[in-house]
Amino acid sequence: MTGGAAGLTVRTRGLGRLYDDDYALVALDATFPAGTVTALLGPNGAGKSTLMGILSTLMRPSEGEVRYGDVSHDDPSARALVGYVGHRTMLYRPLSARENLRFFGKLYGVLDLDARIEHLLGEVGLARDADRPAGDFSRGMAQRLTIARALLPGPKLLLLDEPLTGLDRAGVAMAVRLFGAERDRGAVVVMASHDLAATGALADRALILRRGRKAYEGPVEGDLAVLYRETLGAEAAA
Amino acid sequence: MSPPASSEPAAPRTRPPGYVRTVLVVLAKDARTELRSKQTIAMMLLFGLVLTFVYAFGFVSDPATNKKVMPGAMWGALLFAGTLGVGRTFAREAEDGAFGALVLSPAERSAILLAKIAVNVALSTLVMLVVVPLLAIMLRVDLSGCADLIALQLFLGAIGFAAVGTPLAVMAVSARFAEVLLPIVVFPMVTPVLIAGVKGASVALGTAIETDPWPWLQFTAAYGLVFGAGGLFLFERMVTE
Repeated sequence: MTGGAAGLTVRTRGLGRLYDDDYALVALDATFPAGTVTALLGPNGAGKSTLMGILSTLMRPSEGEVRYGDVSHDDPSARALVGYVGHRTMLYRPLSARENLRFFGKLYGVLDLDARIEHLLGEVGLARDADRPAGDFSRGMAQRLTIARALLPGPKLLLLDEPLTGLDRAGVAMAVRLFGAERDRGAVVVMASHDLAATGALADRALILRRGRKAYEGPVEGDLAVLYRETLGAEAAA
Repeated sequence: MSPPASSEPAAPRTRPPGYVRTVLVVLAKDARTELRSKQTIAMMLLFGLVLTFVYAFGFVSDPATNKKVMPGAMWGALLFAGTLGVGRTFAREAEDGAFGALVLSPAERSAILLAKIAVNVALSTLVMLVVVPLLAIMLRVDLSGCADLIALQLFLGAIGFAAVGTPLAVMAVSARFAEVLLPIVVFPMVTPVLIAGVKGASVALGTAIETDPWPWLQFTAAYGLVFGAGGLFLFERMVTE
């Protein structure tokens, strides 16, 4: 049985991913400490989504390894540690918001599931729409539900690939508050977003990629957008 | 800059479900979504009924010829409606990328595939429960003496078809032109089941030279078992890029 406070460090060593003859990720050594939010930045094609895919366990690395504390990437139990918000909502349209959460909650074996669902529906502002089919939701509402799905099992590693897509200002504020709470709980949060202002409001650290290689890894001191521009120069505009 | 912490309680306690529970949870979800949308069963039934009418009006002849046509008509309906079914069950999973979230969960992945195979067997069986009696009526073929044998053959055939088609649908779902690709891959793979089914049904109806339908039944069962086990074993690799 898992649960309680999170607190693992995620490490990649020599991580590489090859697509046909091209490397999307090259010999990446990176550390994502517990209780931090890491902003994952880079221009298009830098390898952000590939890294997210590997960290989520949906993709296999061609080289190198990922460790989630003591758990290896190949270990099926690694999946229980991960919460993932991707480019797509990953929801079942015919099911209501509550049914979507109940289904995924059962697959994760969340105990006290009904209470957890009601809590999260309230947190993401969908309590009144809980019984509407997800297919009837606007993009922003679907994104709120997606965030609730990712937070449902209390992940120790929360991967956020463009998590603010479709959210209005109140939605962005809600998401930033919830992601911050996950970090404060001790989770590792990795966030890739084009919204540097919102990401900067959360990020303690940054990992900046350029053509699959690490261009910067370290703390965020000051303005994230400035750090990004200083690291990538003219490529930052891409 | 850090936003203030919310009143979020500690992470919930979790206990990943066992194998059987995972199968039941996925089955219940699929049943609920299908009952709500009725898309897959409606398409399969419609397709099965169209085929029934084509066979009935295209081939109806004297009773002896109708008896010879009946096995091919039944198994043809299973093949086409079944292919439509396996394609649709995964098209829904691909919609909005829900399948990604499904395989990301800690639930046993082969249990997810087993549930999907069971869903496809159930859908094909339901369609055949409507199509076969209708075919028998329209072709004026009396199945009363061999209904149990025909039912067993079709049920085993549905298992064999789903065991082959479901893992292939998983692989095709992320491909471009999945709906075109799936039949191209599935049809050659299920041809042995189709041949065994048609031969077995011909024996059951008394239109074949052989008199023992059991070798065909055993072959159909073994085919489903081997491909089902292979799919369950390889599913982990199929869903990880």
